Amino acid sequence: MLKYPSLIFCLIFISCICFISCKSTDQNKYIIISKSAKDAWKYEIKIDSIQIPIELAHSRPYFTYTQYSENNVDYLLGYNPELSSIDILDLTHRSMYKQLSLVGESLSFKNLDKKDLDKSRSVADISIINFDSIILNYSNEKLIIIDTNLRKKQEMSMDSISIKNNMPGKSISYCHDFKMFFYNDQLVLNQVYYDFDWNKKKPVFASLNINSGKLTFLPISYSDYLYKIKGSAGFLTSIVTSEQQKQGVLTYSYLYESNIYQYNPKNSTITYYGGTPSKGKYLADSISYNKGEDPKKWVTHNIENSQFFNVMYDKYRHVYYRFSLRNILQENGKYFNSILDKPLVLMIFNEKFEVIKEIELPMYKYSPNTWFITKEGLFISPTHRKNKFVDPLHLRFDIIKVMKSRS
Amino acid sequence: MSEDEEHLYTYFKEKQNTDLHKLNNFFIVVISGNCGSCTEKTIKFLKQLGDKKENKFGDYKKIVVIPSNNAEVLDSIKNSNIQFIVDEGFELEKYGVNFQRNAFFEFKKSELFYKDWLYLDNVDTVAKKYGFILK
Repeated sequence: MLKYPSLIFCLIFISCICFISCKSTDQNKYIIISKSAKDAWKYEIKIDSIQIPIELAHSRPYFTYTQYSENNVDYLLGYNPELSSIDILDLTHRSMYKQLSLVGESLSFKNLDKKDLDKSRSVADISIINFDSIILNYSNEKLIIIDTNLRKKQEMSMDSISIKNNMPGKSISYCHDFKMFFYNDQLVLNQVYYDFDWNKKKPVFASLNINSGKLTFLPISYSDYLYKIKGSAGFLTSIVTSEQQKQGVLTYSYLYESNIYQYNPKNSTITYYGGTPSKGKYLADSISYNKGEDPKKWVTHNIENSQFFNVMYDKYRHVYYRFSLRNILQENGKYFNSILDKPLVLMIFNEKFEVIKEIELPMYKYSPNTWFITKEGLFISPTHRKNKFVDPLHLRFDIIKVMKSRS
Repeated sequence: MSEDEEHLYTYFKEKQNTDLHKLNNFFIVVISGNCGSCTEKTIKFLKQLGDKKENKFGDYKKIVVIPSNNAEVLDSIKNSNIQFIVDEGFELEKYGVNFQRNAFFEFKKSELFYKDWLYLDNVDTVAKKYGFILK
């Protein structure tokens, strides 16, 4: 029998209150709540679908890609690991424009993994200046610049870039989180450090002049919340960027929190905005990890926290888009949910980051990470891993079109 | 019974109509959908473990579960006595069989005897434990 049941109950109750209030304090301290746009009612959404005929051998969605426009034609350049090629799709005419095979000694791509699971043998990212200069990031080892005739124009060792510039760490990029992109004619990469000190703010954006090889740091670091939890955000410890930027400012965010940040190089200021969705968590919980532990708890953490993707600027409609995967409980009765069961939410903001629309997309339809903007709208790939209706003979995209009525 | 065992038993019972309690000695390898280089090494180990000429574990049933995005493992190992199960609809995670790394289980008399990760150099260690040298 317990001697002091009421005392024990009170202690448990107080502990629970402290735990909840600590979480809510973090949210109050680090998160800005989003505002709705007064004219949100004027915006309408329409979803169209397109299909591009393809051959069976390249039926997968493109996980590593870039979008490019030339002479009023929109293209998608996607890495096809099954064929070890860069596929160039003409989105305007709904056709395959060209396939650039990366097999061959002259291009320096060795033994690419056909399943794209081994990231030491993969194309991690793609960017483009024009069809004469397509920049391929080979496993964060080399930046290889090729043209559409498969001529190698330039090759830079990514290890040597920082060393030559006397900068600590290494510059890297991955298409699905910190995507490399051109900003003020410089290639922006993610600076990572071999020994990160969470007591000291360090720049994590580095801009590279690909002609001279000069590397410059931008005054952007991880957010205050990540420093507070000393980087313990599990799989969500990433910065997310987009190549679709508004001119004059650089917009970025973090997988682990809903805030949206904008760097203005003219006055070196960073402004942050609220991007909270109407449901779910806004801030990832911290998670401890000791070497040798079963990484399963990171999976649980990933499922039970929201994941906020990159913020993309639509220069044609002057709006921003941001997708997120809402947190769910891993346990589901006698079964378990996985990250594939997290609802995908799209938020659309005006240029002041006021919310115009928030849409919960159909479950198990769209593949997270394959999305981009052209003058037609926001393209999204209906190739969720649990989507059983994937057409092997066509590459399909849904196009989300935002329209503002004049009245 | 450990959590992992419980999840494996339920997955095999409900999705594969196999009651693991009725099997005696067996190995189960669950390939993760995450790591390509680890899988390359794991394939070398599985080729030896499943070699029909190899009698070392002749009384063991050998089962390998593969997520559909990593099904090239099937093409790499031919003419073996391994039973392959391709998890087409990503059902493993629904049953809590959710590993970030390739997982290896040895069951003796239907009970879990040994569990380890087939991860980087640990594949060599596990292989060595069972008397195989990976080339």
